[in-house]
Amino acid sequence: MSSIRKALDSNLLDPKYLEESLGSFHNATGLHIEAITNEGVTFSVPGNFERSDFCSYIRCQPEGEKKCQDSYKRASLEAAKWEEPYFFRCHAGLIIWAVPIMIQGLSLGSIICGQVLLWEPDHFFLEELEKLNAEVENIEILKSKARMLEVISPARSQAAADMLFVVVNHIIKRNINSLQEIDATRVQQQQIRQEIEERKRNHLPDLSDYDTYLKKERKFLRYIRLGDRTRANQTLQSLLTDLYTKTVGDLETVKVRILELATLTSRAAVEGGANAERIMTLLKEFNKEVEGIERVEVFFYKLQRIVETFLEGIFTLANKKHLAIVKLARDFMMENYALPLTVANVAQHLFISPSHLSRLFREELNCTINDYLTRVRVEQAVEIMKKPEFSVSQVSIAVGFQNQSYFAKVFRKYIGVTPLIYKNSLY
Amino acid sequence: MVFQGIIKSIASGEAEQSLALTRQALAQGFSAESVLEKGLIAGMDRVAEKFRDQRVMVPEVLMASRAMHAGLSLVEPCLKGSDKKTSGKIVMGTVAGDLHDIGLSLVKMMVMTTGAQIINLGVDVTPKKFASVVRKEKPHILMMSALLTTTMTVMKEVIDELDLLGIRKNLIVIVGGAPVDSGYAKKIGADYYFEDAFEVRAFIEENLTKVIMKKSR
Repeated sequence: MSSIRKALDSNLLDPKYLEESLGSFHNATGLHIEAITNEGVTFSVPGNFERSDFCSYIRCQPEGEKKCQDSYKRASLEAAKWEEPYFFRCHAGLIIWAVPIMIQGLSLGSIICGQVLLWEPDHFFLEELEKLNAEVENIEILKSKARMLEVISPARSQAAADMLFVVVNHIIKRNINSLQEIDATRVQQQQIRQEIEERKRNHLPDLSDYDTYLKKERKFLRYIRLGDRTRANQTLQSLLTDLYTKTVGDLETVKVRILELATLTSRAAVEGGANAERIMTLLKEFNKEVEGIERVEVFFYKLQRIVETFLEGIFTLANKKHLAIVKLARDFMMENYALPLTVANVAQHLFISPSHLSRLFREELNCTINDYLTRVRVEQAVEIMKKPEFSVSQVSIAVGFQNQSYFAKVFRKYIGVTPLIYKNSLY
Repeated sequence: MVFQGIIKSIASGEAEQSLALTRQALAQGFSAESVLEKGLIAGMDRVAEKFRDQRVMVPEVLMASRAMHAGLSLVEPCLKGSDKKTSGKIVMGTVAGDLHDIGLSLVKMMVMTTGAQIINLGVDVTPKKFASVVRKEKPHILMMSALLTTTMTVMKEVIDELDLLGIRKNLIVIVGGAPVDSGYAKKIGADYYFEDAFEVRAFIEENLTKVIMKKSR
């Protein structure tokens, strides 16, 4: 109780306002609510509405009060843990949900709502009742009271829980940002899980050594350099899942890997055409921001956000309506880089004039079509060179260069060394 | 088709319906195993499928789970048919923070048919609790499950705790749950991962005698 008192004193929670709002909620929905402490003890029943006959009967059994409190206590803990409404069946068999009251990360208890059924009290339910309430004095009385319980649809109970959550958060003046962060954490967990399930379903081999991880990392950086947002995000999610399972969620290791990834991505973004000054400032802010983080999912979420910001630095995104055309042009080049492409070829493929296409490219990506095509080719060349069986001249032809010495010149400009030196450095 | 009916009754949370159709399927001569696998579990899979790409509506899941348990109440007595007894001992539970008991009760039910003695610690079992029970009961096998990415890491804590107390040896550790796979099992030092209750049972049927022999040596 003392923590509630403290919250009340600090004006974070106005008890009168709380009671009024919850009273309105009860009147609007007809659902029973009560406020409980983390120990499961009821400290307020807004409007003093009475509990249902069923609950009153259960509570007046020997130890009944205590059992109800234990049920609520556990629910309150779960609700606080997930920071969202927690649905459960109480020890006596009813459907109830607990909505957490959290102030500054501290749980002050919950609002209990429901004490209803989601199904008619059918034959199977009465059997369940008997099993769950073996110690009740007169089971027939309980059964007759159960027949009077309100039956509501799952959609209605979910909606009531959602509404109540909004109301409670409003009353305690909950910061919207922190809610967003909780949401993002949850989305992150779901993404990791979906990815794992997907892999299991497709019977993909378990590739969790760092060799594979680093290969994937290189792939990711390549997509960043090319500004390919979709593939970059997909690969990043896959990387994060690998990281999570590989480290078994170890915070220290995850932190190191995340900082590395952010740094590597920043460099790749600059190579992809983003403004170096801006990217380095962003990176610095990122490093500061993640300093005190204590949850793996939050690290992941922050990284995905900074990667997104970096990617935006590559696309200026000035004029979104043309982005689709630019993307189509880019995809076309990524598929056909091996052919002797010209601006006219690409424009023809999209049924627009070459000059219009060039202008769009300059606006959206801040580079010429030929610049971009060259970048795709060099990235691809680096990839192919990892296979020892191809000579430099074969690589040059494979990525669409007509002239090997021109290829060497361009390669050197982008990578810093000639193709031959680069190739030899790999083996 | 009666299995389709069972699946539908579970997906829509109709307990009475699930009960009646399960009874009908058993009366038609379908084995308890097949009703369990192709009806009840397939029903829960249908629910999981529905919520794969959208927000999980917990009340609906509660209803489905209840409908499945209705069917289960008829299937369970039929599964207990075998009366062979072994001296094999198995401890099981979900790890701390994880309250998902559907998979656990399915595994328990299937493993029960092998005649092994089962100590079910239920849900939300802390590493300390797992370790102290293992020390006291000296089981042949420890099974644990986690359904959440947030709790799967606790399985490693359990194994670390066993290691620390020097009781990991001569114990077979089996893990399960949606976010877990065999690679993960290997990484955290578990011995086996199984996809479902049927795989676990097959493994135990085949290996329990060997395991008991090895331990008593």
